[in-house]
Amino acid sequence: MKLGDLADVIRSKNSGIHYVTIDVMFAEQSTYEAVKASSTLNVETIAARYHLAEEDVRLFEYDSGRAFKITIPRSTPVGSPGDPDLYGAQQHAPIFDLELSIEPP
Amino acid sequence: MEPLMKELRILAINGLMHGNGFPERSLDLGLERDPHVVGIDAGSTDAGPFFLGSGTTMVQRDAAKDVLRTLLTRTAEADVPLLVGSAGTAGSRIHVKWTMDIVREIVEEESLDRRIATIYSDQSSEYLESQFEADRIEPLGRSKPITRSTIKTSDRVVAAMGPEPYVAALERGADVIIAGRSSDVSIFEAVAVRHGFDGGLATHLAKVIECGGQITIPSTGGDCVLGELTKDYFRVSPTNPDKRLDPITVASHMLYESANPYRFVEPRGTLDTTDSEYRSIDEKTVEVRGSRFVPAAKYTVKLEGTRLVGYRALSVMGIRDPVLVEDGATSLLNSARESVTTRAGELGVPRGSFSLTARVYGRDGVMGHNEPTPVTGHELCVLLDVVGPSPEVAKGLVHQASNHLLHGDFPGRKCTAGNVAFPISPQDVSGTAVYEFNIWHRMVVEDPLDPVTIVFERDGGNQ
Repeated sequence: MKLGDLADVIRSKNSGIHYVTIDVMFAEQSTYEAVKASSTLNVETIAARYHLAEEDVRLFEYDSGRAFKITIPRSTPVGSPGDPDLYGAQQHAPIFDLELSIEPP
Repeated sequence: MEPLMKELRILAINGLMHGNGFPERSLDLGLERDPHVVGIDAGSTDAGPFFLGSGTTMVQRDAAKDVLRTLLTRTAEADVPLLVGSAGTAGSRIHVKWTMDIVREIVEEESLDRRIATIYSDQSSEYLESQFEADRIEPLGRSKPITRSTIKTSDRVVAAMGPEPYVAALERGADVIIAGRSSDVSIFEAVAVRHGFDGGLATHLAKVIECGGQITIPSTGGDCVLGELTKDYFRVSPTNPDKRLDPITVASHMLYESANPYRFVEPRGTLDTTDSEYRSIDEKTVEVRGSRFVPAAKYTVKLEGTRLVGYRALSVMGIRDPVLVEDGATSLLNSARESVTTRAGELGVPRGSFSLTARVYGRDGVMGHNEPTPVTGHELCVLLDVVGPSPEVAKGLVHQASNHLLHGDFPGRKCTAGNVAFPISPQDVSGTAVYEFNIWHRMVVEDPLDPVTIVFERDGGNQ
């Protein structure tokens, strides 16, 4: 299954002017637990998808919100010349097609 | 210190940034619950440096006046203090005065009798230089260390105040506070701080309700939420009878716009939600316990400052030619860039005083070098963005580039009458002045009131 098919929400947004933060949220506790157990959503995979160094990727498991959070640096501070995404709202797509070895719920 | 009251109620309205209103019934139902304060956040840095730099607002005046009229009249009737934070999008003096101008009109038109305080949080370059010399300004995130020249080249610098300036204005009898740049949390935390409530729960509640009805289900449309704070827990609920709330939604607000869902840094310290517990009381009410607050060794305020970078001109075009599309327009864009550099030299425009950004949509326009799949389809859109030292230079250089894209040569070219499709005439347009955040730092202050100025409307203070 692809992460994009398993998650209820995959979104990105600025966190301050230097970072973009990506939230992956699940409607069902069991799906969240399964994704967590699969360990496929990890720093190494995310860094590779975004062409970033692993130390630039922060990944959080957030049980209270049945969610994962990924925080990565922006290429340019918010709104400076050359910033491609003012609100950081379209930086979530590369993890959509992450393949996870999980059975459909 | 132990809170003096058993329960504190805070009514939070959705942000005023985009001028969205809210159902008036939600406000009235919220006021019936006898809140101790009504708060609204009117600003953000989210939309970029332009509003602070240019001294303009994102919200339209009429839309802001509508919302403020409703809030000012209803809170006056209910005799509840109204706190408006980060006034006028960016919260500098010019933005606070813009907001106060509207407030004065409404007070006059509605014959309101309210004691109004304004709080300015602009930072003078003299003060910033003295703080810099005392080594009290440190970078936030990936900002570079501040220098004297950073301070000198900033057009406008604001400090995001904590709750204490609001508390001070309330202690002096303010019914309405129109405040400059504030931490989003401080607007909603101020009254709790004033009454001695625990930092962890008060800060967490303020963080949860900062965007008003955004946490409710459904989240569509602006709306109001009520926070109830005691020393052991807080509860939050939408005042709109058609909306619900569940623990996941409340917990998830710690994800929104924050880099780390467990730690949230404020002027007075850090909120820690590691042990927070969320539970449903009923389908509209969520209760939270266990949030902690770790006081900071030193009180700090975030500084935001902007610098004028130049002036923008744009050109946008489509490409359908298969040879160009297959190449992602790479070689043509490279030669366009060379021609712009040459032209700039002819015009005497120094290198480094202008920039040309070419975004190729359909290849990697949205993500640039972060794009994992820079694969082209059957057509591309190219956006040329020139920022130059004057509007005329920017316009001249973007035209050089767009004309090169139209008529320039490239390997395998067959479309010798024109390479690109412009969807607008003229093909180039002038943009606005362009700013960047050059200050995004944290400043240590002795007293939370040091970086602000509180002025009461009837004191004759009209700075």
